[in-house]
Amino acid sequence: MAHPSPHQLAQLALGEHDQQVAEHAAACTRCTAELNRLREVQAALAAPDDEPLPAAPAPEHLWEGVARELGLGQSAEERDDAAATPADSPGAPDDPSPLTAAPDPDDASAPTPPTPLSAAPSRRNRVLAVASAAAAALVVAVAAGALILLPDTDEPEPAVAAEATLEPLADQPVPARASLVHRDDADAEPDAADELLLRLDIDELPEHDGYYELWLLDDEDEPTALLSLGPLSEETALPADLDLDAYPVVDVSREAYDGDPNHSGDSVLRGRLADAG
Amino acid sequence: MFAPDSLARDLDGQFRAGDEDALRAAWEHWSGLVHRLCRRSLSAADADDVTQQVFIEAWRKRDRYDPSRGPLPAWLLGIARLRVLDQLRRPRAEPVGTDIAGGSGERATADDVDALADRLLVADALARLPDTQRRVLELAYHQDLGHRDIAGQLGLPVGTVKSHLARGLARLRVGLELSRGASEPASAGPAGTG
Repeated sequence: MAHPSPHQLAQLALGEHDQQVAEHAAACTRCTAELNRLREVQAALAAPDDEPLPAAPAPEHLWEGVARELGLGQSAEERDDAAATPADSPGAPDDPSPLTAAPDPDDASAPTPPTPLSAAPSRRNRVLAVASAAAAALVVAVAAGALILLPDTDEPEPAVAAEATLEPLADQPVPARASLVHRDDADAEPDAADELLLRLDIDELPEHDGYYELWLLDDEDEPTALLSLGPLSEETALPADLDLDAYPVVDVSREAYDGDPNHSGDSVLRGRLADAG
Repeated sequence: MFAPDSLARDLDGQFRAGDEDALRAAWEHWSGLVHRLCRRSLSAADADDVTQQVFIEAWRKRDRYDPSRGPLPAWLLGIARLRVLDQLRRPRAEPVGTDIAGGSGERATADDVDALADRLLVADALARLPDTQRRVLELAYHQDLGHRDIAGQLGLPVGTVKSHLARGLARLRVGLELSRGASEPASAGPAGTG
C-alpha cells in the first residue's frame, strides 16, 4: 500500500489497530520513524513535569542585550523619535494578515445580489445533493460534475477553477461539494472581476447550539495553517491576494458562540480543492 | 501568554521576512521557554548568555528558517538545544547546578536536554491547540482517562474523541525534527539527526 497518512499513523500510535497500516509501518523505515516520533510526542505529553509552562518571558535586561547586539534599539528609536525615512522601516506594519484579510461578514453572508446566472445552477446542484444525500460522496461528485459539464445555455456559467468533495468527518453530516469560481458576471464591479468565489453545495447540516464556520487549511490530515472565511455561507468571496496553493483544503467546523476565534477542532466536513478540468 | 495558533502562524512568516516586531513578539512568547531549557541545564549566568545567543542566532540565520517545517518555537528550541549542548561539552572546573540531572550537581546529558526540549515544544503546541482538541489530549495524557470517559466528560461522541486525539497528536508532532536539529543551523554540512 502507499504510505499511510499522518492521521492513520497517529491512529495506529493510539492503538487503533489497522492490519494494513500496521503491516506497512512495520516494513517501511520512513513510517517506522514517523511512528516513533508520534510515540515520542505521546511520551512528552505523558511525562510528568513539576513546573507549568513558563508564563513570563525571560528577564527584560536579556532582551535589551539582544536588541543592542542586533542593533534593533537604535532603529526603533529612529523610527519613533526622528521619524526615519520610510525605507528604514522593516516590513510593512499595516500588511493585512491572513486573518484580517478575510472578507468581512457582510460580504460573506450576502456577496452579490443573486442573479439568475448564479442562483439557478446553484439551486439545481442543491436539489441533486439533497436527492443523493444518503449516497456516497463519489455519487454527489459525479452529479455535480455533470451539471458543470452541462450548464444552463441561456447564461454563461462562471468558469470553475477548482473543486473539492467534502468528506464528512463527524457522524451526521452528509458529503458536500465545494467549487471555486471566477466572479465574472457582467454586473460585477470592474475591480471585482478577478475575484474568486467559493461556492458550497451542502445539504442541510444538523442544527446545534452554535454555528458552522468555513476555513481554508494547508493540509487535509495535518493542518498547520488555517484561515477563517467566516460563518458558513453558500457563497463566500475569497481575499484577493490569497495564495490558494498554500491553503488548498476546505473545512467546515462546528463552533460555539464562545467568542473564541480559534478553530474548535470539531470539523464536520473537509476536502481538498483540485483543479477542475 | 501563548499565541493562538493562527496568530503564531503569521508570526512565523513575519519573522522569516525580517520584521523586527515579530522578533520582539517571538521573545515575548518563547523566551521563557528557551530560558527554561537553558536554566535547567546550565548555570544561571550561562543560561542568560545562551538565551540571548539563541535569539541573536535565530534572527541572523532567519533565512534558513523554513516555517513549513515547523513553528518558531521549534526553530528557537532547536538552536537552544544545540547551544546548550555546546556549553555542556566545554571542559569545566566545577559541575554546574542542573535541575534535569536531579539537582545533584551532575551534568545534564544530551538525552536530558533532548527530552526536555521535546516536552517544552509539545507543551507549548498543546497550549495553542483549539480548546476541544486540547481538552481531549489533556484528559487522555494528563488524567489518563480512556476514550469513553473523555467522551462522557466533554459530551462528545467517542468517535469524535478518537478523531481529536489522532489529529491532535499529528499536529503536536509538527516541528519535532526542526527542534531536534535535523537542520543544524550553524553549518551547511551534513547534520546529525539526533
